[in-house]
Amino acid sequence: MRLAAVTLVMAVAFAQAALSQSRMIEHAYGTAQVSGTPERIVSLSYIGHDFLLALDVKPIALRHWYGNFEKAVWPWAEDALGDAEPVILYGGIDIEQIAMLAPDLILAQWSGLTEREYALLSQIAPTIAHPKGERAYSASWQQMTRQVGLAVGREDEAEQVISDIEDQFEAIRSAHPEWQSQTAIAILPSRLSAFGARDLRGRFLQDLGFQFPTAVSGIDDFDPNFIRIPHEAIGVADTDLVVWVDTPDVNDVLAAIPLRHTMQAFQEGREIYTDYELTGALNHSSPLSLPYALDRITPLIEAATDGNPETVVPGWTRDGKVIQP
Amino acid sequence: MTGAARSSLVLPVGLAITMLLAILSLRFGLRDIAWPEIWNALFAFDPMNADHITLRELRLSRVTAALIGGAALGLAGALMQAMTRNPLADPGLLGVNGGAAIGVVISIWILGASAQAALIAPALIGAGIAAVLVLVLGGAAHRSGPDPTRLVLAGAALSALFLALTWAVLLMSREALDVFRFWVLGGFTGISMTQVMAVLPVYAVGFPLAFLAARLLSPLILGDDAARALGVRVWLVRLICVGAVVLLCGATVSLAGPIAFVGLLVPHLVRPFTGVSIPKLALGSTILGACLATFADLAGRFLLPGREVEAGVVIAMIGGPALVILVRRRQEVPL
Repeated sequence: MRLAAVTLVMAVAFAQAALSQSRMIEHAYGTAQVSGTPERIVSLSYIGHDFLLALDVKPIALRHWYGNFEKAVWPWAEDALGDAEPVILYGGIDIEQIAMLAPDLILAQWSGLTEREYALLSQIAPTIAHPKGERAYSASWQQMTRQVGLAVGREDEAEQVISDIEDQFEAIRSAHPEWQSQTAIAILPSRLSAFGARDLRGRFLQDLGFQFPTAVSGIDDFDPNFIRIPHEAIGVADTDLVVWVDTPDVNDVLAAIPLRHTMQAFQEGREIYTDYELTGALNHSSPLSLPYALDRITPLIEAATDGNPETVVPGWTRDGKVIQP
Repeated sequence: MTGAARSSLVLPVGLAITMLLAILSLRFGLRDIAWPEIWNALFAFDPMNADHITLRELRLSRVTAALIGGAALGLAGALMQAMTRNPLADPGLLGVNGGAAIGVVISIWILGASAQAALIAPALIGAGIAAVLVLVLGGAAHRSGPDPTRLVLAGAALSALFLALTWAVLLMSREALDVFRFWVLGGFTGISMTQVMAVLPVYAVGFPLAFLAARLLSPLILGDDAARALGVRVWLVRLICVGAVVLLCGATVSLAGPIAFVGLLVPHLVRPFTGVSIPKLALGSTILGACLATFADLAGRFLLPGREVEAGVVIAMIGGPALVILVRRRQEVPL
């Protein structure tokens, strides 16, 4: 009896020791348990490889999002990837292909992973979906960096990366206290859709100090990350700073927005245009792309919000057309 | 009231209601434009006035598209039901919508198109290819002309094929899915006058051809053999009919996306007033189609705060229940 009790206590102690070595990562579909250092990481998030590479971890497979780059990573991640040759996953999530890769960790935070796919993938390896309490594409880059750091056992490096980039934001914010009282919105002109307050691009502008326009949050769209603005109600998006993100034939597309020239942002030169690569950096909003994005976008925003309608924002002609490369 | 009196009254009344809805469409929306401003926008245009621009460049083209598109779908539906002698026939059965959809997703996927204006040409090309394939498979080249049953089967088979191909592309391209999911709802928002003008030539051929087909189809009610005995060239009539339907639907789907139910529902609503006469049915369906589409476009502006619900969605919400009521109230839907 006594022996049994001692054995039980020891067993519990051993179990606790084992558990303390494995890390528990909570996410929207449950809790993933990862122990040791994962060696074969499959990255299903469209931007997830950037987050891994920022912590100096190379995935064995990564997801192609868009853009024609040799290894499916954008320029800011090329150095971090080095000569590694991860498998590039195109198209939808192919469970069999992932199983063949024999991963020991699957990261799918910004992938739109469904619960059904999670149920299958989590049998192959510990799988991490979007953070708990968030929708498929609403997590912040800090949340995602933190989760990745925990999953690969590099919590300290992750915190370091986060605070480095937050410092960069803070430096820009404190240089521009006037932005705190201004509103800003990022819009895809081809569909006249605004990136929502919890979208990565919406968050980026708020991280710079700008406020999200309440009139746009009031639009009851099916997808709060990507809010369609009806043409005749474009006034809701007439904020202190309007960011037009890249789209093919941007000048034609902008010209086809009939009410654009009635916007005060247009009349007072408070619009900026983010070109293909800068838009890509905002779209990724990763620890690797954010420093690049901040370097490039800050002078544009400064020119747009300097309070002088005569200032021509870099990248624009005097009559409000985008200068194409 | 006698049937003849009813049918002679229904056309002017329908036309008046449609015109009223069209005028209301200019007045109401997310931006309230006062009556005098509507007048000013048309006759004393101020290019910096947001109300004037809204009226001229957004609402006018939008209501024009709804009127023409709705009319085209209603007319095409009447022809389809008369030609196939099937009360549940719908212009979509000819695979035109499916062809337009594959054209749209391929152009988004390969050419990176995302603006609505850029989708018109690929949709029209896709619809055209689908139409030719359906005609060939449906036996248009056959000596006896296209057979309605074969046409519908060919259309259904091709629609299924196009749907599969469309989804294959959508699975490969997230951008295509993002654009497609709005296109597929169908609606008249954001259509510019340039776009309406671009497809107008197709309508200019389609409408007269359709009314001609409606006249020619009448003898076919008696059956193919009886019609042949009367000296009707059945194959030619069918070819004209299918050609007209394809032109009308192809133009509409490229302009406004696939809008279901108008072609299916409208002829049923018109038939009690016009009786069996196919030309009258065609004319009535044209007017009621325009009326329904304009109403749906207008109603969609009031359903959700701050945004517009696509006309295609509103029509589906009206059309589904309406069709159930029609079928339940009248055990059989006579042609």
